[in-house]
Amino acid sequence: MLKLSELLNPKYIKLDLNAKRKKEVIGEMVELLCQSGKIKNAPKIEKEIIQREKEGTTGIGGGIAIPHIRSKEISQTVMALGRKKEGLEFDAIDEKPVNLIFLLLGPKGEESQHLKILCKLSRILHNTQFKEILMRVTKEEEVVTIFREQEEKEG
Amino acid sequence: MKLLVFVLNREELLEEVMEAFVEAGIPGATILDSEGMGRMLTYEVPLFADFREFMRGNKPYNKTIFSVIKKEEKIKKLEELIEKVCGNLSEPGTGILFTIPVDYAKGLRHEEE
Repeated sequence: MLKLSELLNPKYIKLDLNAKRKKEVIGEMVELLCQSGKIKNAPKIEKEIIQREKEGTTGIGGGIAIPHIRSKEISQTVMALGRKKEGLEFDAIDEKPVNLIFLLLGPKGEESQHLKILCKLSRILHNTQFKEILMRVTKEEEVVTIFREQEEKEG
Repeated sequence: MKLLVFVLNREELLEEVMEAFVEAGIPGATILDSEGMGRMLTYEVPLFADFREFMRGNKPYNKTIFSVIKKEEKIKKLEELIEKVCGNLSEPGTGILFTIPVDYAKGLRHEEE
């Protein structure tokens, strides 16, 4: 299975998001992932993510959101992390502001892998201590390191 | 002595499956309403809502039947009868049948020969 620490790249991590609203944050993070070269049509991707959010929020509570889609416009699975220390409105299930947003984009037809990544990410992020560390880090590289350490610890 | 568990995906076949149990000489069983994992995840957890289409084809609800069987030779007979009703259990979406050893049981109904 694909490791989260391998999927994360400091280039696609933004520890101080500018966006203040859900739609804006999606735009800002898609833009971040455009550097990867794995996204063909960014405006279409944004629309698909917003449409997906209408099916059910990906704000899972506890300050976390994991917006995600599988799309024909994506050639390979990519993930971005955005942090907003003061929190932003994301229609989370606990109705609380969201601080950490993981945007996961995968190609059509890789449902099983996408599902596994989502489940693993969701499980790890339910760990309050782990979340606190993510809220404290000052460098993008540290995020990758703590994910790697967590995955090594789990074996 | 074995605990036999059968997860029946096509609920509409329950009556015929129960008849198979009786025909195999199994006098009692407990039937539970159950739910597939795919249904639970995609309909109850918003994070997975977009996987409903992917899970399509899986039966959302099923029945779980369990029974303690003293005479283990009845299990083979029951399997044959269940497959006559439900089709080959190796086919996905049909059902799951398994047994586990039981070392003690009390309160079981008397099994016929």
